[in-house]
Amino acid sequence: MYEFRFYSVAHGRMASELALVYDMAIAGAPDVPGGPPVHTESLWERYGVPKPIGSWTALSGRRTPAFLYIIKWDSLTQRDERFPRFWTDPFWRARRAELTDGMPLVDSIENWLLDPSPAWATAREDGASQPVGGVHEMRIQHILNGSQTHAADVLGSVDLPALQALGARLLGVFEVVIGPERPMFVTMLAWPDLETQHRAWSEMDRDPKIIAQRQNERARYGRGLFGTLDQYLLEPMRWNTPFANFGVSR
Amino acid sequence: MNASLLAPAFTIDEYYELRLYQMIPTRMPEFHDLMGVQVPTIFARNGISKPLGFWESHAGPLAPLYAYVLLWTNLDERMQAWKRFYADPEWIEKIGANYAGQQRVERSSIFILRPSPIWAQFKDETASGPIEGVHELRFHDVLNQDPNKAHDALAQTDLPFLIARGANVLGVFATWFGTRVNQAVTILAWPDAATMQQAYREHQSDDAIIATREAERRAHGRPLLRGTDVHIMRPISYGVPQANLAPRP
Repeated sequence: MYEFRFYSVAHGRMASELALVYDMAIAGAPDVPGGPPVHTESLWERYGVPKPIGSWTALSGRRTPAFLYIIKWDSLTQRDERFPRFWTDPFWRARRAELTDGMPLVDSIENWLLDPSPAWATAREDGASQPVGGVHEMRIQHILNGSQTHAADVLGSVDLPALQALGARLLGVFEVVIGPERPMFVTMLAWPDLETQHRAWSEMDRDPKIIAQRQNERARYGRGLFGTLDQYLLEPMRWNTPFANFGVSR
Repeated sequence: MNASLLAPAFTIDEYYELRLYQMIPTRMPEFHDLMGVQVPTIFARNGISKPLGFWESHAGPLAPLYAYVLLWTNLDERMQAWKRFYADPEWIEKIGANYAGQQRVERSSIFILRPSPIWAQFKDETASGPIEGVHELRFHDVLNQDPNKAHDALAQTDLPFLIARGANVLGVFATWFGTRVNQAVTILAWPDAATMQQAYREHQSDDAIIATREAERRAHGRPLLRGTDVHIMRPISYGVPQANLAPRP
Protein backbone atom coordinates (compact mmCIF):
# COMPACT_ATOMS: atom_id res chain seq x y z
CA MET A 1 0.00 0.00 0.00
CA TYR A 2 1.28 3.46 -0.88
CA GLU A 3 0.51 6.47 1.32
CA PHE A 4 0.30 9.64 -0.71
CA ARG A 5 0.61 12.84 1.32
CA PHE A 6 0.05 16.20 -0.34
CA TYR A 7 0.45 19.38 1.68
CA SER A 8 -0.87 22.72 0.54
CA VAL A 9 1.73 24.89 2.26
CA ALA A 10 0.94 28.32 3.66
CA HIS A 11 2.52 31.08 1.61
CA GLY A 12 6.00 31.88 2.82
CA ARG A 13 6.34 28.70 4.90
CA MET A 14 7.88 26.22 2.43
CA ALA A 15 11.43 26.51 3.79
CA SER A 16 10.20 25.58 7.28
CA GLU A 17 8.04 22.74 5.94
CA LEU A 18 11.00 21.25 4.04
CA ALA A 19 13.30 21.64 7.02
CA LEU A 20 10.80 19.86 9.25
CA VAL A 21 10.43 16.86 6.91
CA TYR A 22 14.16 16.69 6.24
CA ASP A 23 14.97 16.70 9.95
CA MET A 24 12.48 13.92 10.70
CA ALA A 25 12.74 11.65 7.63
CA ILE A 26 16.31 12.09 6.44
CA ALA A 27 18.70 13.64 8.96
CA GLY A 28 20.31 11.59 11.73
CA ALA A 29 18.17 11.67 14.87
CA PRO A 30 19.27 13.31 18.12
CA ASP A 31 18.57 11.78 21.51
CA VAL A 32 17.12 14.89 23.08
CA PRO A 33 15.19 17.77 21.54
CA GLY A 34 17.68 20.19 20.04
CA GLY A 35 20.56 17.79 20.66
CA PRO A 36 23.28 16.65 18.23
CA PRO A 37 22.50 13.88 15.69
CA VAL A 38 23.82 10.91 17.66
CA HIS A 39 22.01 8.30 15.49
CA THR A 40 22.77 7.41 11.89
CA GLU A 41 19.08 6.57 11.44
CA SER A 42 16.50 9.32 11.07
CA LEU A 43 13.84 9.73 13.72
CA TRP A 44 11.30 8.21 11.32
CA GLU A 45 13.52 5.17 10.85
CA ARG A 46 13.84 4.80 14.62
CA TYR A 47 10.04 4.48 14.71
CA GLY A 48 10.01 2.11 11.72
CA VAL A 49 8.62 4.75 9.34
CA PRO A 50 10.30 4.13 5.97
CA LYS A 51 12.04 6.87 4.04
CA PRO A 52 9.61 8.14 1.37
CA ILE A 53 10.08 6.70 -2.13
CA GLY A 54 10.09 10.31 -3.32
CA SER A 55 9.52 13.87 -2.11
CA TRP A 56 8.67 16.84 -4.32
CA THR A 57 7.63 20.45 -4.43
CA ALA A 58 5.12 21.54 -7.08
CA LEU A 59 6.20 23.79 -9.95
CA SER A 60 2.66 24.00 -11.29
CA GLY A 61 -0.78 22.79 -10.30
CA ARG A 62 -3.60 23.55 -7.89
CA ARG A 63 -3.27 24.45 -4.23
CA THR A 64 0.35 25.56 -4.56
CA PRO A 65 2.76 26.09 -2.93
CA ALA A 66 2.63 22.35 -2.40
CA PHE A 67 4.88 19.67 -1.00
CA LEU A 68 4.25 15.96 -1.38
CA TYR A 69 5.77 12.60 -0.65
CA ILE A 70 4.87 8.93 -1.02
CA ILE A 71 5.61 6.19 1.52
CA LYS A 72 5.43 2.49 0.73
CA TRP A 73 4.10 0.37 3.60
CA ASP A 74 4.07 -3.41 3.95
CA SER A 75 0.77 -3.20 5.82
CA LEU A 76 -1.59 -0.61 7.23
CA THR A 77 -1.43 -2.24 10.65
CA GLN A 78 2.29 -1.50 10.62
CA ARG A 79 1.60 2.03 9.39
CA ASP A 80 -0.88 2.77 12.14
CA GLU A 81 1.42 1.35 14.78
CA ARG A 82 4.36 3.44 13.64
CA PHE A 83 3.32 6.80 12.20
CA PRO A 84 0.90 7.82 14.98
CA ARG A 85 3.45 6.75 17.58
CA PHE A 86 6.04 8.95 15.91
CA TRP A 87 3.57 11.87 16.12
CA THR A 88 3.73 11.63 19.90
CA ASP A 89 7.54 11.89 19.93
CA PRO A 90 8.83 14.82 22.01
CA PHE A 91 11.55 15.83 19.54
CA TRP A 92 9.06 15.92 16.68
CA ARG A 93 6.74 18.07 18.74
CA ALA A 94 9.51 20.42 19.81
CA ARG A 95 10.95 20.85 16.30
CA ARG A 96 7.49 21.37 14.84
CA ALA A 97 6.61 23.98 17.46
CA GLU A 98 9.91 25.74 16.80
CA LEU A 99 9.43 25.83 13.02
CA THR A 100 5.73 26.70 13.03
CA ASP A 101 6.34 29.44 15.58
CA GLY A 102 2.65 29.95 16.24
CA MET A 103 1.60 30.16 12.58
CA PRO A 104 0.42 27.12 10.59
CA LEU A 105 2.80 25.66 8.03
CA VAL A 106 0.07 24.01 5.95
CA ASP A 107 -3.44 25.01 4.93
CA SER A 108 -4.67 21.54 3.95
CA ILE A 109 -3.45 17.95 3.71
CA GLU A 110 -4.46 15.19 1.32
CA ASN A 111 -3.71 11.71 2.64
CA TRP A 112 -4.67 9.06 0.13
CA LEU A 113 -4.03 5.33 -0.08
CA LEU A 114 -2.93 4.07 -3.48
CA ASP A 115 -2.61 0.62 -4.99
CA PRO A 116 -0.20 -0.04 -7.85
CA SER A 117 -2.07 -0.16 -11.17
CA PRO A 118 -1.63 -3.06 -13.61
CA ALA A 119 -0.55 -0.34 -16.09
CA TRP A 120 2.63 0.02 -14.06
CA ALA A 121 3.50 -3.65 -14.46
CA THR A 122 2.84 -3.45 -18.22
CA ALA A 123 5.01 -0.41 -18.93
CA ARG A 124 7.64 -0.58 -16.20
CA GLU A 125 11.34 -0.26 -16.99
CA ASP A 126 13.62 -3.08 -16.05
CA GLY A 127 17.07 -2.75 -14.57
CA ALA A 128 16.67 0.88 -13.52
CA SER A 129 18.62 1.39 -10.33
CA GLN A 130 19.61 5.06 -10.39
CA PRO A 131 17.76 8.10 -9.05
CA VAL A 132 15.86 9.88 -11.80
CA GLY A 133 16.22 13.65 -11.71
CA GLY A 134 14.89 16.21 -14.17
CA VAL A 135 11.34 17.47 -14.07
CA HIS A 136 8.64 15.12 -12.81
CA GLU A 137 5.03 15.08 -13.86
CA MET A 138 2.12 13.86 -11.76
CA ARG A 139 -1.16 13.19 -13.53
CA ILE A 140 -4.19 12.66 -11.31
CA GLN A 141 -6.83 11.61 -13.77
CA HIS A 142 -10.48 10.65 -13.67
CA ILE A 143 -11.19 7.27 -15.21
CA LEU A 144 -14.46 6.16 -16.78
CA ASN A 145 -16.23 4.44 -13.90
CA GLY A 146 -16.55 0.68 -14.34
CA SER A 147 -13.79 0.59 -16.97
CA GLN A 148 -10.72 0.78 -14.74
CA THR A 149 -9.32 -2.52 -16.03
CA HIS A 150 -9.62 -1.45 -19.63
CA ALA A 151 -8.20 1.99 -18.84
CA ALA A 152 -5.16 0.45 -17.10
CA ASP A 153 -4.63 -1.83 -20.07
CA VAL A 154 -4.75 1.06 -22.55
CA LEU A 155 -2.56 3.29 -20.39
CA GLY A 156 0.06 0.56 -19.98
CA SER A 157 0.11 -0.71 -23.56
CA VAL A 158 -0.67 2.40 -25.64
CA ASP A 159 -0.15 5.72 -23.87
CA LEU A 160 2.83 5.02 -21.64
CA PRO A 161 4.95 3.35 -24.38
CA ALA A 162 4.25 6.35 -26.64
CA LEU A 163 5.36 8.71 -23.87
CA GLN A 164 8.45 6.63 -23.16
CA ALA A 165 9.37 6.81 -26.86
CA LEU A 166 9.13 10.58 -26.55
CA GLY A 167 11.54 10.74 -23.61
CA ALA A 168 9.49 10.01 -20.49
CA ARG A 169 10.64 7.62 -17.80
CA LEU A 170 8.02 5.86 -15.76
CA LEU A 171 8.15 6.20 -11.99
CA GLY A 172 4.83 4.55 -11.19
CA VAL A 173 1.10 4.27 -11.87
CA PHE A 174 -1.46 3.96 -9.08
CA GLU A 175 -5.17 3.69 -8.52
CA VAL A 176 -6.73 5.73 -5.71
CA VAL A 177 -8.19 3.33 -3.11
CA ILE A 178 -8.96 5.81 -0.32
CA GLY A 179 -9.43 9.35 -1.54
CA PRO A 180 -11.79 11.63 -3.44
CA GLU A 181 -13.49 11.45 -6.82
CA ARG A 182 -12.67 7.82 -7.51
CA PRO A 183 -11.97 6.17 -9.85
CA MET A 184 -8.75 8.06 -10.40
CA PHE A 185 -5.30 7.03 -11.57
CA VAL A 186 -2.13 8.73 -10.42
CA THR A 187 0.69 8.52 -12.98
CA MET A 188 4.18 9.73 -12.13
CA LEU A 189 6.60 10.42 -14.99
CA ALA A 190 10.13 11.83 -15.13
CA TRP A 191 11.32 14.05 -17.98
CA PRO A 192 14.85 15.25 -18.68
CA ASP A 193 13.55 18.84 -18.84
CA LEU A 194 10.44 20.97 -19.43
CA GLU A 195 11.23 21.36 -23.15
CA THR A 196 11.02 17.60 -23.72
CA GLN A 197 7.85 17.31 -21.67
CA HIS A 198 6.14 20.06 -23.62
CA ARG A 199 7.20 18.70 -27.01
CA ALA A 200 6.16 15.17 -26.07
CA TRP A 201 2.59 16.11 -25.13
CA SER A 202 2.30 18.23 -28.22
CA GLU A 203 3.32 15.21 -30.30
CA MET A 204 0.97 12.92 -28.38
CA ASP A 205 -1.90 15.07 -29.66
CA ARG A 206 -0.80 14.31 -33.22
CA ASP A 207 0.17 10.64 -32.80
CA PRO A 208 -2.02 8.53 -35.16
CA LYS A 209 -2.03 5.57 -32.72
CA ILE A 210 -3.23 7.75 -29.86
CA ILE A 211 -5.87 9.45 -32.04
CA ALA A 212 -7.16 6.06 -33.21
CA GLN A 213 -7.25 4.76 -29.63
CA ARG A 214 -9.32 7.73 -28.43
CA GLN A 215 -11.69 7.28 -31.38
CA ASN A 216 -12.14 3.62 -30.46
CA GLU A 217 -13.00 4.62 -26.90
CA ARG A 218 -15.57 7.17 -28.04
CA ALA A 219 -17.12 4.62 -30.40
CA ARG A 220 -17.39 2.06 -27.61
CA TYR A 221 -18.26 4.20 -24.56
CA GLY A 222 -19.50 7.49 -26.00
CA ARG A 223 -16.56 9.16 -24.27
CA GLY A 224 -12.88 8.61 -23.56
CA LEU A 225 -11.56 6.23 -20.90
CA PHE A 226 -9.53 9.10 -19.45
CA GLY A 227 -11.44 12.07 -18.10
CA THR A 228 -10.48 15.37 -16.58
CA LEU A 229 -6.98 15.73 -15.28
CA ASP A 230 -5.25 17.44 -12.40
CA GLN A 231 -1.69 17.80 -13.61
CA TYR A 232 1.35 18.86 -11.60
CA LEU A 233 4.90 19.50 -12.64
CA LEU A 234 7.17 18.61 -9.77
CA GLU A 235 10.68 19.20 -8.61
CA PRO A 236 12.15 16.14 -6.87
CA MET A 237 13.95 16.93 -3.63
CA ARG A 238 17.69 16.36 -3.91
CA TRP A 239 17.64 14.49 -0.61
CA ASN A 240 14.86 12.12 -1.70
CA THR A 241 15.01 11.79 -5.49
CA PRO A 242 13.02 8.73 -6.59
CA PHE A 243 14.37 5.81 -8.57
CA ALA A 244 12.85 4.56 -11.81
CA ASN A 245 9.89 2.30 -10.89
CA PHE A 246 10.20 3.99 -7.50
CA GLY A 247 12.90 1.45 -6.76
CA VAL A 248 10.25 -1.23 -6.42
CA SER A 249 11.42 -4.53 -7.83
CA ARG A 250 9.10 -6.64 -9.86
CA MET B 1 22.36 9.38 27.81
CA ASN B 2 19.48 6.98 27.25
CA ALA B 3 19.57 5.91 23.60
CA SER B 4 15.99 4.67 23.50
CA LEU B 5 14.04 7.80 24.36
CA LEU B 6 11.22 6.95 21.97
CA ALA B 7 7.55 7.55 22.59
CA PRO B 8 5.54 4.61 24.00
CA ALA B 9 3.78 2.24 21.61
CA PHE B 10 0.00 2.05 21.24
CA THR B 11 -2.61 0.30 19.09
CA ILE B 12 -5.42 1.71 16.98
CA ASP B 13 -8.44 -0.57 16.60
CA GLU B 14 -11.40 1.65 15.69
CA TYR B 15 -11.93 3.04 12.19
CA TYR B 16 -15.04 4.32 10.45
CA GLU B 17 -15.15 4.09 6.68
CA LEU B 18 -17.32 6.80 5.14
CA ARG B 19 -18.33 6.07 1.54
CA LEU B 20 -19.83 8.90 -0.51
CA TYR B 21 -21.22 8.03 -3.93
CA GLN B 22 -22.05 10.82 -6.32
CA MET B 23 -24.95 9.23 -8.20
CA ILE B 24 -25.89 9.79 -11.81
CA PRO B 25 -29.22 11.71 -11.80
CA THR B 26 -32.28 9.42 -12.08
CA ARG B 27 -30.18 6.31 -11.34
CA MET B 28 -30.50 6.16 -7.54
CA PRO B 29 -33.97 4.59 -7.00
CA GLU B 30 -33.07 1.11 -8.29
CA PHE B 31 -29.72 1.28 -6.51
CA HIS B 32 -31.61 0.81 -3.23
CA ASP B 33 -32.65 -2.68 -4.25
CA LEU B 34 -29.02 -3.59 -4.87
CA MET B 35 -27.66 -2.08 -1.65
CA GLY B 36 -30.57 -2.72 0.69
CA VAL B 37 -31.68 -6.18 -0.44
CA GLN B 38 -28.98 -7.93 -2.44
CA VAL B 39 -25.69 -6.69 -1.02
CA PRO B 40 -25.99 -7.38 2.74
CA THR B 41 -25.46 -11.14 2.46
CA ILE B 42 -22.60 -10.68 -0.01
CA PHE B 43 -21.01 -8.16 2.36
CA ALA B 44 -21.39 -10.55 5.29
CA ARG B 45 -19.77 -13.57 3.68
CA ASN B 46 -16.79 -11.48 2.55
CA GLY B 47 -16.12 -10.02 5.98
CA ILE B 48 -17.77 -6.61 5.57
CA SER B 49 -19.96 -6.09 8.60
CA LYS B 50 -23.39 -4.54 8.46
CA PRO B 51 -23.13 -0.80 7.67
CA LEU B 52 -23.93 1.47 10.62
CA GLY B 53 -26.22 3.62 8.52
CA PHE B 54 -27.30 4.46 4.98
CA TRP B 55 -28.32 7.91 3.78
CA GLU B 56 -29.28 9.77 0.65
CA SER B 57 -28.86 13.47 0.06
CA HIS B 58 -30.19 15.89 -2.49
CA ALA B 59 -28.90 18.97 -0.72
CA GLY B 60 -25.19 19.60 -0.72
CA PRO B 61 -21.97 18.81 -2.58
CA LEU B 62 -21.93 15.61 -4.68
CA ALA B 63 -25.76 15.46 -4.86
CA PRO B 64 -27.49 13.21 -5.66
CA LEU B 65 -25.44 11.56 -2.95
CA TYR B 66 -25.61 8.03 -1.53
CA ALA B 67 -23.69 7.58 1.72
CA TYR B 68 -22.95 4.83 4.21
CA VAL B 69 -20.62 4.12 7.10
CA LEU B 70 -18.75 0.93 8.02
CA LEU B 71 -16.90 0.09 11.22
CA TRP B 72 -13.49 -1.65 11.13
CA THR B 73 -10.95 -2.72 13.72
CA ASN B 74 -8.08 -3.21 11.26
CA LEU B 75 -7.37 -1.57 7.90
CA ASP B 76 -5.51 -4.49 6.36
CA GLU B 77 -8.59 -6.61 7.00
CA ARG B 78 -10.64 -3.86 5.41
CA MET B 79 -8.53 -3.92 2.24
CA GLN B 80 -8.74 -7.72 2.02
CA ALA B 81 -12.50 -7.80 2.64
CA TRP B 82 -13.23 -5.30 -0.14
CA LYS B 83 -10.97 -7.20 -2.55
CA ARG B 84 -12.85 -10.41 -1.78
CA PHE B 85 -16.17 -8.63 -2.17
CA TYR B 86 -15.32 -7.11 -5.56
CA ALA B 87 -14.22 -10.54 -6.80
CA ASP B 88 -17.36 -12.32 -5.53
CA PRO B 89 -19.16 -13.76 -8.58
CA GLU B 90 -22.56 -13.04 -7.10
CA TRP B 91 -21.68 -9.35 -6.65
CA ILE B 92 -20.42 -9.16 -10.23
CA GLU B 93 -23.60 -10.77 -11.48
CA LYS B 94 -25.92 -8.66 -9.31
CA ILE B 95 -24.27 -5.34 -10.08
CA GLY B 96 -24.24 -6.16 -13.78
CA ALA B 97 -27.95 -6.95 -13.73
CA ASN B 98 -28.76 -3.93 -11.59
CA TYR B 99 -26.75 -1.48 -13.70
CA ALA B 100 -28.26 -2.90 -16.92
CA GLY B 101 -25.50 -1.49 -19.09
CA GLN B 102 -25.59 2.01 -17.60
CA GLN B 103 -23.58 3.51 -14.77
CA ARG B 104 -25.31 4.46 -11.57
CA VAL B 105 -22.35 5.97 -9.69
CA GLU B 106 -20.46 8.86 -11.28
CA ARG B 107 -17.65 9.04 -8.68
CA SER B 108 -17.02 7.94 -5.13
CA SER B 109 -15.06 9.58 -2.33
CA ILE B 110 -13.89 7.33 0.47
CA PHE B 111 -12.65 8.41 3.86
CA ILE B 112 -11.19 6.49 6.74
CA LEU B 113 -12.27 8.34 9.88
CA ARG B 114 -11.15 8.01 13.45
CA PRO B 115 -13.47 8.85 16.34
CA SER B 116 -12.83 12.36 17.61
CA PRO B 117 -11.50 12.56 21.18
CA ILE B 118 -14.56 14.71 21.96
CA TRP B 119 -17.17 12.22 20.73
CA ALA B 120 -17.36 10.28 24.02
CA GLN B 121 -18.67 13.27 25.96
CA PHE B 122 -21.64 13.55 23.57
CA LYS B 123 -22.64 9.90 23.65
CA ASP B 124 -25.94 9.35 25.39
CA GLU B 125 -25.43 5.88 26.82
CA THR B 126 -29.11 5.63 27.78
CA ALA B 127 -30.26 6.17 24.19
CA SER B 128 -30.85 3.29 21.81
CA GLY B 129 -32.90 2.46 18.76
CA PRO B 130 -33.05 4.04 15.32
CA ILE B 131 -32.73 7.81 14.97
CA GLU B 132 -34.96 9.20 12.24
CA GLY B 133 -35.41 12.82 11.17
CA VAL B 134 -33.17 15.05 9.10
CA HIS B 135 -29.47 14.23 9.32
CA GLU B 136 -26.57 16.46 8.60
CA LEU B 137 -23.03 15.50 7.59
CA ARG B 138 -20.53 18.32 8.06
CA PHE B 139 -16.86 18.52 7.15
CA HIS B 140 -15.26 21.28 9.17
CA ASP B 141 -11.98 22.61 7.86
CA VAL B 142 -9.75 22.85 10.93
CA LEU B 143 -6.48 24.49 11.82
CA ASN B 144 -3.94 21.84 10.83
CA GLN B 145 -1.33 23.05 13.26
CA ASP B 146 -3.32 21.60 16.13
CA PRO B 147 -6.53 19.87 14.98
CA ASN B 148 -7.49 19.00 18.54
CA LYS B 149 -8.02 22.68 19.27
CA ALA B 150 -10.78 22.77 16.65
CA HIS B 151 -12.34 19.59 18.06
CA ASP B 152 -12.25 21.20 21.50
CA ALA B 153 -13.94 24.30 20.09
CA LEU B 154 -16.69 22.08 18.71
CA ALA B 155 -17.05 20.39 22.08
CA GLN B 156 -17.05 23.56 24.14
CA THR B 157 -18.91 25.97 21.89
CA ASP B 158 -20.71 24.67 18.83
CA LEU B 159 -22.08 21.25 19.73
CA PRO B 160 -23.60 22.26 23.11
CA PHE B 161 -25.24 25.23 21.36
CA LEU B 162 -26.75 22.96 18.69
CA ILE B 163 -27.77 20.24 21.16
CA ALA B 164 -29.64 22.83 23.21
CA ARG B 165 -31.59 23.62 20.04
CA GLY B 166 -32.54 20.06 19.16
CA ALA B 167 -29.49 18.33 17.64
CA ASN B 168 -28.65 14.71 18.43
CA VAL B 169 -24.97 13.84 17.97
CA LEU B 170 -24.67 10.61 15.99
CA GLY B 171 -20.90 10.85 15.64
CA VAL B 172 -17.84 13.11 15.71
CA PHE B 173 -14.76 12.12 13.75
CA ALA B 174 -11.44 13.24 12.32
CA THR B 175 -10.43 12.37 8.76
CA TRP B 176 -7.51 9.92 8.89
CA PHE B 177 -7.08 8.84 5.26
CA GLY B 178 -8.69 10.57 2.30
CA THR B 179 -9.01 14.09 1.02
CA ARG B 180 -8.33 16.98 3.43
CA VAL B 181 -6.96 15.17 6.44
CA ASN B 182 -7.60 16.47 9.95
CA GLN B 183 -11.05 17.78 9.10
CA ALA B 184 -13.56 17.39 11.87
CA VAL B 185 -16.60 15.45 10.66
CA THR B 186 -19.90 15.62 12.48
CA ILE B 187 -23.05 13.63 11.83
CA LEU B 188 -26.02 15.22 13.59
CA ALA B 189 -29.69 14.25 13.62
CA TRP B 190 -32.46 16.83 13.85
CA PRO B 191 -36.16 16.16 14.46
CA ASP B 192 -36.98 18.16 11.32
CA ALA B 193 -35.54 20.68 8.88
CA ALA B 194 -37.21 23.70 10.51
CA THR B 195 -35.53 22.98 13.85
CA MET B 196 -32.16 22.66 12.13
CA GLN B 197 -32.59 25.88 10.18
CA GLN B 198 -33.61 27.82 13.25
CA ALA B 199 -30.62 26.46 15.21
CA TYR B 200 -28.12 27.58 12.55
CA ARG B 201 -29.84 30.96 12.19
CA GLU B 202 -29.19 31.48 15.89
CA HIS B 203 -25.68 29.99 15.64
CA GLN B 204 -24.71 32.55 13.01
CA SER B 205 -25.93 35.53 14.97
CA ASP B 206 -25.00 34.46 18.48
CA ASP B 207 -22.78 37.04 20.18
CA ALA B 208 -20.86 34.51 22.27
CA ILE B 209 -20.02 32.35 19.25
CA ILE B 210 -18.96 35.36 17.20
CA ALA B 211 -16.71 36.44 20.07
CA THR B 212 -15.21 32.93 20.30
CA ARG B 213 -14.31 32.94 16.58
CA GLU B 214 -12.83 36.40 16.93
CA ALA B 215 -10.65 35.27 19.83
CA GLU B 216 -9.50 32.30 17.72
CA ARG B 217 -8.60 34.63 14.90
CA ARG B 218 -6.51 36.77 17.23
CA ALA B 219 -4.76 33.73 18.71
CA HIS B 220 -4.18 31.68 15.55
CA GLY B 221 -4.48 34.03 12.57
CA ARG B 222 -7.71 32.31 11.52
CA PRO B 223 -10.74 30.75 13.15
CA LEU B 224 -10.21 27.17 14.32
CA LEU B 225 -13.21 26.04 12.26
CA ARG B 226 -14.01 27.29 8.78
CA GLY B 227 -14.84 26.32 5.21
CA THR B 228 -17.45 23.80 6.16
CA ASP B 229 -19.02 21.44 3.59
CA VAL B 230 -22.57 20.51 4.55
CA HIS B 231 -24.69 17.62 3.29
CA ILE B 232 -28.32 17.48 4.44
CA MET B 233 -29.28 13.81 4.36
CA ARG B 234 -32.21 11.47 4.95
CA PRO B 235 -31.60 8.08 6.53
CA ILE B 236 -32.76 5.27 4.24
CA SER B 237 -35.44 2.93 5.57
CA TYR B 238 -33.29 -0.23 5.30
CA GLY B 239 -30.37 1.39 7.15
CA VAL B 240 -31.53 3.97 9.67
CA PRO B 241 -28.61 4.55 12.06
CA GLN B 242 -28.88 3.78 15.76
CA ALA B 243 -28.22 6.28 18.54
CA ASN B 244 -24.46 6.95 18.86
CA LEU B 245 -24.02 5.10 15.52
CA ALA B 246 -24.10 1.84 17.46
CA PRO B 247 -24.12 -1.37 15.39
CA ARG B 248 -27.59 -2.02 14.00
CA PRO B 249 -29.35 -5.15 15.32
